[in-house]
Parts: sequence; structure tokens; C-alpha cells
Amino acid sequence: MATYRQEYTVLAEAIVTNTIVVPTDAEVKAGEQPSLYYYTDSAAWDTGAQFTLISPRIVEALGLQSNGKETFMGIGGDQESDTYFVHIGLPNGELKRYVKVYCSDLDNYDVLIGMDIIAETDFLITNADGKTTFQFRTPSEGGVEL
Amino acid sequence: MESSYLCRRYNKIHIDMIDLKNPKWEDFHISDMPKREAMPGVKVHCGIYRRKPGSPSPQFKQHNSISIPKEIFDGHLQTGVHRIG
Repeated sequence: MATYRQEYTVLAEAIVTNTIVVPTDAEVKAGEQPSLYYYTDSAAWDTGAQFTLISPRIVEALGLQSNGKETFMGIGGDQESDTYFVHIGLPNGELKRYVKVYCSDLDNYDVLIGMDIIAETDFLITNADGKTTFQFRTPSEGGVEL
Repeated sequence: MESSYLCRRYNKIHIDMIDLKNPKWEDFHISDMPKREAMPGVKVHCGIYRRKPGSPSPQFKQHNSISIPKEIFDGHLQTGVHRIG
């Protein structure tokens, strides 16, 4: 089990952590840094997103090759997007391998972590005393009751 | 095991489409999932998923994970590409 905890001094407007994106052809070994990765401290956790998205600047920086195009429904209606397989490193030290991600302009974010990843975690947000605390752990163990 | 995972992920959306012993991946879609109203500041990316015949099944592979050093995430790295070795 690997856990992660982030405390804010105020009520958070968004849950944002750091993460890494690793090309599938990079060398990855347990307990070691991948041979190539993109690090960002701008990964938003979005329970309203069904899939994980990455920004075009990551695609360009890592030279990722698309494995196809797919259509998804965004705010403005259907959108066609390039899709990629990458490994996603979460801040608890778990590298999720072969995640299919969409490429989309994410404004101020580099990565949008969607429910395809969140659904494999225990995910908890508390806001006592006007201060947000975000915690997650993998794999999910359940047993959390409020 | 694969089919049960599929069921868990999509059971609120279209479980009647799924034959647990023989899921028809090639024709599987969730276009009938409830449409949500877009709210200011909230990104909504629900929608359609279709798998091409013969293409990988990324949902299954997501169980494949390994541990990497947590020190990577200590905040001392610059945003961008990092090469090791």
C-alpha cells in the first residue's frame, strides 16, 4: 500500500499534485527512476473526467507517437483527439503502466487525472477548519467511513 | 476477471450491453450515458468509448503498476523532460 497526503492552508479550489508522464518505450524498473519522463507539478485530479488527459506540450516534449484518434464528449460537444499509451507516475510513488490518455489543451494544467486512475484508489478530501486535506492510497482497500 | 472489471467500471452506465463471459469489446460504447450540464469552471469529459478490433485493452493493463522512488515527487525537479543515465 502506498499513501499520499497533501495539506492546504486554505480551502482548495482544485486538487493539484505533481506527477510524471513516462513514454512506454522508456526503461522502467521497480524502485528506480524511469530512464525518461516528464515531470510536472500541475496535475489536476478531476472526478468529472472519465479519462486522463495530457497537454500537447507533454506530447511534444516527449515525442510521443499517437496510437489513434478517438472521439470524446467535452463541454463544447464531441471532440476528436489523438490518444497515446503512457505510464503515469503518481505522487505516492506508484507508476500506472499503459494508461490510455487523450491529448487536449488543458489551459493551466499539464495533466488531468481522470476517473480511470482515481477509480483504482481510495480518494479522500476533508475541509475541517477551512483547510483542505487531500489523501489517496493505492491499491484501494476500502473501509473508509464518514 | 477481465469481464468483472469491465462490469465494475461501467455498471452504472450500460450493464445490459455486457455479456460477462464474452464481452463484445469491438462494439462496446457508452454513448447513452447521462449527459451532464456543463458548469462554469468544471471540465466534463464523459462520452464515447469505442475499441477497434485487435487494439489493446488499456483498462486491463492499468492493473499493471510498479513502485518508483517517491523522491521524484519531492518538488525539487523542474517542470519538463528528465533523462536518467
